[in-house]
Amino acid sequence: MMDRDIRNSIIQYDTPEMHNIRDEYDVVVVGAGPAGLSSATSAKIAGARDVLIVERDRMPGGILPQCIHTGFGLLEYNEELTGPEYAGRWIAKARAAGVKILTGTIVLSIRDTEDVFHAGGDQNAAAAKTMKEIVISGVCTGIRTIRAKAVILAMGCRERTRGALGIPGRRPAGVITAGCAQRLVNVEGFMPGRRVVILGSGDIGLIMARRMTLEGARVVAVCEKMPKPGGLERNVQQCLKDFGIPLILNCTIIEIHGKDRVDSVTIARFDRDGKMIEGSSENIGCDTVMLSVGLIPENELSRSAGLKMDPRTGGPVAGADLQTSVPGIFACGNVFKVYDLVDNVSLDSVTIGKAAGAYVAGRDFKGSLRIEKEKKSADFEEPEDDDTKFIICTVCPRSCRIRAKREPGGEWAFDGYSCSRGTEYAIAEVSNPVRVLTSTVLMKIPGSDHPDSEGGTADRSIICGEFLTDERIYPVRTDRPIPLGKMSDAMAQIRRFVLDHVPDVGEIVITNIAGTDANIKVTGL
Amino acid sequence: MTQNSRQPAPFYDVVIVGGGVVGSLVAYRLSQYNISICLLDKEADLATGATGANSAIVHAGYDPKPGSMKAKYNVEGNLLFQTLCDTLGVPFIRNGSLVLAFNEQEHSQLAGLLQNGRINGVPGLEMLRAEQVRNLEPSVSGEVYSALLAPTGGIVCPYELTFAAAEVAYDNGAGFLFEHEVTRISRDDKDGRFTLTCATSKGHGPIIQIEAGLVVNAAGVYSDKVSAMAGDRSFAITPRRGEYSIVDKQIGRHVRHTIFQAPTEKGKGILVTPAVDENIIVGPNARFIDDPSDTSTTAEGIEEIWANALRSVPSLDRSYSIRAFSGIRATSSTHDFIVGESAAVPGLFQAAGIESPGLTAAPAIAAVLEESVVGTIRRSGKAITVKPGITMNRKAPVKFRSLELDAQNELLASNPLYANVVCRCENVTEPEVIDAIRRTIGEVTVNGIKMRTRSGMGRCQGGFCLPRILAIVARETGMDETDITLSGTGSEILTGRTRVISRVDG
Repeated sequence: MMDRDIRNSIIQYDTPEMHNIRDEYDVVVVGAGPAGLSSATSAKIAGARDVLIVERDRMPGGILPQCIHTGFGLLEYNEELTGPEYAGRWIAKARAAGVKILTGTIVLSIRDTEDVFHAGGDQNAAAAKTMKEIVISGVCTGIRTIRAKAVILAMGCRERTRGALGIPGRRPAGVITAGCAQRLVNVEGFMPGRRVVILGSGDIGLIMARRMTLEGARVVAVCEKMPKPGGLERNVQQCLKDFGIPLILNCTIIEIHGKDRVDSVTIARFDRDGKMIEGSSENIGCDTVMLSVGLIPENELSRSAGLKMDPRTGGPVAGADLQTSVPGIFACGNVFKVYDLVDNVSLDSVTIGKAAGAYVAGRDFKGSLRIEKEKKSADFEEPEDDDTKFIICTVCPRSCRIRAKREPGGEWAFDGYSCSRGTEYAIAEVSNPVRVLTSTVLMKIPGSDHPDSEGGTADRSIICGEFLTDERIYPVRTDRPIPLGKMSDAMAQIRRFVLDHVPDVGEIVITNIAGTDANIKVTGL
Repeated sequence: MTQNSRQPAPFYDVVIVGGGVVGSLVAYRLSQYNISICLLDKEADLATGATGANSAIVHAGYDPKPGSMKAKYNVEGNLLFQTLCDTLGVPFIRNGSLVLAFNEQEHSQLAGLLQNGRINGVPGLEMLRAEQVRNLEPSVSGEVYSALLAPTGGIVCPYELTFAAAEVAYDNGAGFLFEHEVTRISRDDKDGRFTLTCATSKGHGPIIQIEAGLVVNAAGVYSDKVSAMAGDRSFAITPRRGEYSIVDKQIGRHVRHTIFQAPTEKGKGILVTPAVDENIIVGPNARFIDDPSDTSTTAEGIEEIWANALRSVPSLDRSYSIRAFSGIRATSSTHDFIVGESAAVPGLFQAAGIESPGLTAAPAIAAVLEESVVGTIRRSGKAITVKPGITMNRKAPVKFRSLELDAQNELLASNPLYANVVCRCENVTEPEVIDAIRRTIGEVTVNGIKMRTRSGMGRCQGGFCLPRILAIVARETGMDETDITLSGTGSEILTGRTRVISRVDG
């Protein structure tokens, strides 16, 4: 039932509601990713009357629709959700609370007006607060100015690029950031390469190592300049170790080769002081370099609105009332600082939404944000053998590091776990590891031709309103974990499968995948 | 797939080899006459060589040795720039250049440059004291001793100028053939006609032959090879690579002038300059290389240019650099430009060894080549006249981001897609991308769209807009997404689809 609502609400973004934008809102939120959805919902619940989210992409969810893997919602729901499922929950919550979402629309500028409002009806001149003016641009709205009492910035972040790193060498095709590759593979259905070297072991890079491998590409190596992987330990286990993808620490790409397309890279190793070890360079053949070398808060809008920035986090400075340096402007999610877990983004953004709600209602607010725990260091130098295994428990975000040792009698003994679920997980890991498989399925309505094949039609927008075509891919998952050893059989079956109708979220499209008793269900639209 | 393809004719009055700024301006000027012309380039698009990768500045002309071709065409070219750019709808800013001296010895070098400049006929040169320099350009190093101000120095986007000139030439009927690499040139001694043999699509296509009455050699770093094929071996080109760094436009207003340092024997030194699109360009160094196609950047090279740039402008924040690139300059064994009809091969017109100040000189070189080509054709007895109904003007393409709100709303009323921002760093709208696809004379490539619209040129370097660009190109041209390239055959961006419908029955 809820899934059907999500779908209807998404389709609604192209209905007259979109053209029915008011001139003034209590709160305008920039961005409908996890931060925007949760802060908008919470501001509405905290007493803001009209809340509008302005989203530049064609559908809400921010980065989540392309994050088709699981790992979301462990903190919030104690469940392993995929990105599209997690987004679906927050979209449903936002809709239920009465938040309006305008997609396919970009915010061009935000500034203070000369006008004031009196929060909570307090006519005292000292209680007057400045109205904001927001210029938006979208195919459905044109360029329009709307006003708001408060603005929440939730634009997210962007990826560091080759240019920012200054990787030397040629500039051929085949150098791509992991997030851009993720969108191409998971949303657009394209493969950006066949033989891949990944630079940086950030989470997106690790996730893409697995994704590319499952889609038939060969990930030759993941190179990390630091002595430790940059991403979560669960991802190191499930994305690299599961597939035997080598992680080379203290190592970076020092030159990219290839005239038209990448044909190889030179990598080199570094010592403890970060100095290149002489004679350590080696050439690796590949057609693709994928970069996962960090995220940068996206704050062009924040700067143009005059917000004071914190050079340490790259995000705006916020006070005890969680406002930025400009009263009435709030920032949350990766705009504010780069988070590891989406759950923490949502939980913090709920707090910031409350602060914004209190601001427009004229109530005082004090609150604080969560501090993400430092990840434990993974020591990959520690030897594993047939009788000793190190297991990163992925049941909850604690990521306990469990040591499994085989006793002389053949029984396994474990230490390092914190709960009984940890031992259960560890037992499964040494006997028969199981994983949720996430992928995409092709949908093609019989008899239809691909609308793009005719060419030369600029009558439709790419971003706005093009997601319900008759040939596209949908994100899917297994409804329960399947044995790791069955992954490639399951992928082969998924690759052959063609869905002949537009599915609902949650719809089971393949039953008993690869004879595992698990089913393949659609996770998003 | 060539967007605006014209079938090659078996014979042209003039064939121009090379689609850089010089070749395109020659095509532009010759396209006004009643002769058949065709421009060949071995790459998929215009401006892929030195034109696409240089300092993007219009030199005042105080630097070249008096009496040289470089001095002559630099000063003449500089004078032509404003009118040419106005005619072609290309932004040009006369921001002025400063050459900095950091000590007494460098100061006396500047005096030499001032002298040089006066002999070359550069107007308005002026020597400034340290405090005058700092008043004019506050971000210049406090260590500065003096500076030479050249108010006629300017900045321009070299590839935009090239595209504009070629578009007009195309509209006037000129032929353009891309991914056609000249591999052999023969000349019939009886009628003086040339036969050019071309390999197509980087060797993947058929070999074709084209006949030409006259040949213009504007082949940049390959101009010695093209000349030698035609029989003139009087000079050699050594490729010299220069590395650059581009700084985010967020701090683009950090400098206003083009800031040089006193020249050394290595060259005009490393500059810091604003670009017309508000980025800052830092570079170049100079290194002789063997492979004229090797546009690699090196860690040491980028270090070198930044170390020098920071000497001029210490407050320039390197962490804002968004891209490094390098360009290859064609350094001639004659140490000067080679312009005009070959002494050894009648009918072969050279525009060779066009290194710095080649961009500045290009309009003057094109004018002199026009004059000699037209003169030669006239002497052959052909009545050469300006075609009726041609235009030499180009209307500048829409840059939605820089329009006033009223103008934006007017455009939106006729095309709501202008509200669709495809590239969020540079604020490029969907109709601008569509327009670039339609204007492209060569192959439609992602780099070509980037150079025409700036989509992908900003701080995210295409991470956001690439999937959108691929979708728009596929829709507009009918190409399959997997055939779209970064810069021509062999540089396909995608390697396939994740899901394909099996065509096997049963």
